[in-house]
This record gives sequence, C-alpha cells and structure tokens, in this order.
Amino acid sequence: MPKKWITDRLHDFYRISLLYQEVLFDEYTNYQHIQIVSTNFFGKVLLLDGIIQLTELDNAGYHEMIAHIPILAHDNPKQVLIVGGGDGGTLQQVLWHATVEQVVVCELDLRIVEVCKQFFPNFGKLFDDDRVQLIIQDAFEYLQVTGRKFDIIIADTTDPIGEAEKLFAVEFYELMVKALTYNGVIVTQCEQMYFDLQLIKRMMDIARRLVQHPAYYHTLVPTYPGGGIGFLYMSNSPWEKGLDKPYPGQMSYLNRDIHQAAFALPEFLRDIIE
Amino acid sequence: MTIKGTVGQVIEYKNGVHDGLYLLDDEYAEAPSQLTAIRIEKLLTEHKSPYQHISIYETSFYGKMLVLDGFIQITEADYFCYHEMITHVPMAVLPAEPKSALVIGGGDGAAVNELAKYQSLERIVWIDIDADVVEICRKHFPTFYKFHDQRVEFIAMNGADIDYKHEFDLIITDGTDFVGEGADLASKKFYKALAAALKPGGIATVLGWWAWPESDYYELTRELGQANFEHVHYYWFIDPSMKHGYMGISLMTNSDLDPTTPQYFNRVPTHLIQYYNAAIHSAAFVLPTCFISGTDFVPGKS
Repeated sequence: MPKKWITDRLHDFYRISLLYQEVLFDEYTNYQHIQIVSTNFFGKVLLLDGIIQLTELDNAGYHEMIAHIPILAHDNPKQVLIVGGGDGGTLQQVLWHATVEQVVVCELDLRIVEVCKQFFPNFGKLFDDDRVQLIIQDAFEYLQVTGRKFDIIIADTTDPIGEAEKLFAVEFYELMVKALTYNGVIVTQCEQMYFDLQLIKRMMDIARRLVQHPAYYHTLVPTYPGGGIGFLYMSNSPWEKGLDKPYPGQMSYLNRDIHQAAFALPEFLRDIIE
Repeated sequence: MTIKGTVGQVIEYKNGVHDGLYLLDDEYAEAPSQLTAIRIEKLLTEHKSPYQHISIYETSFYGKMLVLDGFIQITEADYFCYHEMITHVPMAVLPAEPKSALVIGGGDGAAVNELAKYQSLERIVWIDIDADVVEICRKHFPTFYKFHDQRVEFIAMNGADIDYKHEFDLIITDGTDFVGEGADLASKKFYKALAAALKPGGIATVLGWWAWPESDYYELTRELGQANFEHVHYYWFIDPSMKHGYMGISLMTNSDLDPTTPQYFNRVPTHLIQYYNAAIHSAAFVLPTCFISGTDFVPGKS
C-alpha cells in the first residue's frame, strides 16, 4: 500500500512531509483551506493553507510558552484577549489561571472553531466556558472599534501571508498597545530565528518604540520548520516578574528553568536585535 | 501527494506549490514518519569511497550541503549551531587549560575547525574512517578548514579502534547515525576506549540524541555512558538540520565538575563565534518537562 504524505507549504527551500493514515477533514472556508489528518507518530495534525499549525504530539511547547509567560508576568491578570487561536490550544492554557475573569477570542474564521471543537475536543469544549467570549471578526477591525482594555493580549496567529500579513504590521502593534491596561503584557507569535531573521529584527524595532521591556524568547516544536518558533514579549513590565510563581495545572514543556532559559538567545540573533 | 523515492534521492515537484528539485532526507531511519526535502540547485560533485557515497549539492537557501549515503550531514548556512555547541561547551568548563584534543568523525572538518580557534590547544588528533570525505570537503568547504593548521594530525581509521592511554583533555565524537560502520561507535568497546584515552579530569562527548520523543539511540547512549563514566550530563539545542528539530549531546567525565556554568568562558574566542555564548551554554542544560517525564501523547499508541 503506497505511503501517504502531506507536505508543509510554508517555505520553498525546505519542505517537511508527514506520513499520515487518513484525511479526517478537508474544507475550503471563506478564508482558508482547513485540513486535519491522522498520523501514527504525531497524532492528529491541523493544517491551514497547507501549513502545519499543530500536532497532538508537540503543541504543548507552543501553547504553554505563548500563554503562561505573559500571564505570570502580570500581577493580577483579569481580562485576556487572544487574537486568532481559534483551535483553542492557547485558550486551554489561559483558562488554568484563577485570576482570569474573561477571555475574548477574536478569530476571523468561525469554521476553525467549529472544526476544532469536533476534532480536538479538549481544546474546543473550552469555548463553552462562561469566561469565554468568542468574537468572529478581523482582529485589526476589532481593535480599531473596541473600547475595551486588556491586561494580556496574545497574538496566536498564522504566518504573515495573506490575511495575517497585516497582523505583523506596525499599525496592528500600535492597536494592541493602545488596548492594554497599565503594565499589561502582549505576546505575539514571532517566527523563527534562522529563516526569519529580518522579520524578527523589524518586529523588535517596532516593540522597542512602543514598550519599555521588549524581549524575544523561543521554544521547541519539532514539526515547525527549523524545529521551533519564537515569541515577542512586549510590556512596560519585565518578563522576569513571572519567574518563581507557581505554574497552574499540569505542564508538559514549561518549568521554572525553561521559563528563564527560553530567553537565552544565540549570538547571531542577539547581534541583530540588541 | 505520493512521494516516490528513497533517502538521498533527488525528486522533482511539478504542477504544485514550490515546484523544483529537492533532495529527500529520511529523518526517521527505521519507521519513517517524517521526510524533509531540501531544495537544490545542482549537484557539484559525487564520489563513491570504499565506505560511503559522498555528494555535495548547491542548495537554494542553505549554501553547499554535504550528503553521505543519502543523509544530510552539514550545510553552510546552519552548521555553526551544532559545531559550536559540541566544542565550546566542553572547552568552557574544563578546569585545566586544555592542551590536547581528539576528534572522532566529522570528516567535513567543522568540529576540528572550532577547536583550532583555540591557540592554547597544542595537539588536535582527528580520526575519521574515510579520508575521501576529508579530501573532498577540504576542497569544497574552505570555511570548515579555515583554522586548520599543523597542530591537526589526521588519521584515517575506524574511531572504535582507538587505543590511547590518558592522552587527551577533550574528546569529541562527531559521528553519524548508528548504521554501517557508524554502529561501531555504539559499542562498549568504544566507550571503554574513550574513558581510557582521557587524561584525569578530562571530558568526552558523544551525540546524545533525543530525550523526547524517546529514542533507542538516547537510551543506548545513556546506558553506555553511565557504564563507563562516573558522570553523564545531557545538553541540547534547537537546530534546523536535525530530526525532531534539535540534537542532544552526552557529556561524560569522571570529574565532578559542574558543566552547566561556563566557568572558563574567558578562554572562548568569542570574536570567531556566531551562535555560542554564556547564556546559551547554561540554557542548553535546561530540560523541558517532557524530556524528563514524557507526555500524555505517545507515538503509535493513540
């Protein structure tokens, strides 16, 4: 029986293909191509426009690091905004925190939420939690019109291609900062140090103009190109404030030492962004 | 889509996204679950030595790339991460200033090159089973040979056959997967020989492979290390060229030194280095929780 491979389409110089058993879901929505396949090694895999978003095996490194680093750095985080994140993986981590009173998830494509509720039920069922408000809207528009302020904003976006491109622009970063409460914290998905060095530099330069304590940190995700991904921490409050606080729930990746180690950057990246 | 072809084969993607020629790298040797394909521009040279098939490609993004028996070994664009981490980490923790080093494997020359940046090293013995790889790489990868000089003594032989007694402050094993002759480096004989070849207080490193998702190589290396050395430490770093996106290193010693802090960082020629620094050194010894206690999702069991 011929082997079936699904190939990641993010880069043209480097292509990852995963061996899969069957296609569980395949649909072109108004915004993107959603695919979910089952693999023996990685579990279920979610792809958007042919780009691997998450697998059951290795998504903890991403979701734990994008959610807990900002929330722990804040003294009393109550209002949280998740930009994107319609799969629910980040939401799951955010809801562990007892101080959190409300989480707005601003997702462009309702179909992602509906589909992930079905195929990743551990994430998806959390959209029914009383604390969660799902807003189906372009996040750029939402931030332009909402008067709400948030203690924590997490931009759990796809890559800067198509619709998501404007979420990596200075205008969007300014909108996020404007929607922050005093000493609020923003964390954004900020790509990969080997392949996206110039983009990281650009985002760091923007961050430096907008907040006092910007920082870049990174995490291991074996199925992402380059083996991992980085995040941009933006706040007038330093990330170190989050160290030595207890972690809520059961962590698969994050611990106190990893929390600190994630901010250690190699020389070639430091040269560019410091 | 169907990918026809085997490891090391060049395949052409047509009528799809990102059409072009790609080299297939099998990242999961025994039960492939993931393939990586690197886009290539052209084959620069190839040669069948008595030990392996050697080829060098020009790639679209990675510069030149060395392939041995179909497995990608090294690329110009990202070689510095792995090669700096296997050399400067031990060099920054050895208590006595290291004078002699042994490198086993690494026919591309890059590991020896990092060590040669230390003028304090008086002798670097370099052993690789395949002299042809060394000759071809010397010609095509001048970057990896920039600091080689008369202190480097190359010997073409199987690293598992070394027989030195207390001669080296540092031994670095830069081997391949445990297939063919490479498997000789996963033997009790080899680990005994490593321990015997080290001066008291010396450090030997070997590939430590992947603590997560757990691999047989990781278990095997740990057992062999613990059977032959008093202290075995594991460190790791994210690297685009590696399966699972990272590589682990097993640092073995009979000394009770603490390898997590680069006490002798002032030894390191930082002006010649692109990746390694003191913060990265310490961070490398920090393990994510899943490296220590696994995760709920276990491959193949769900």
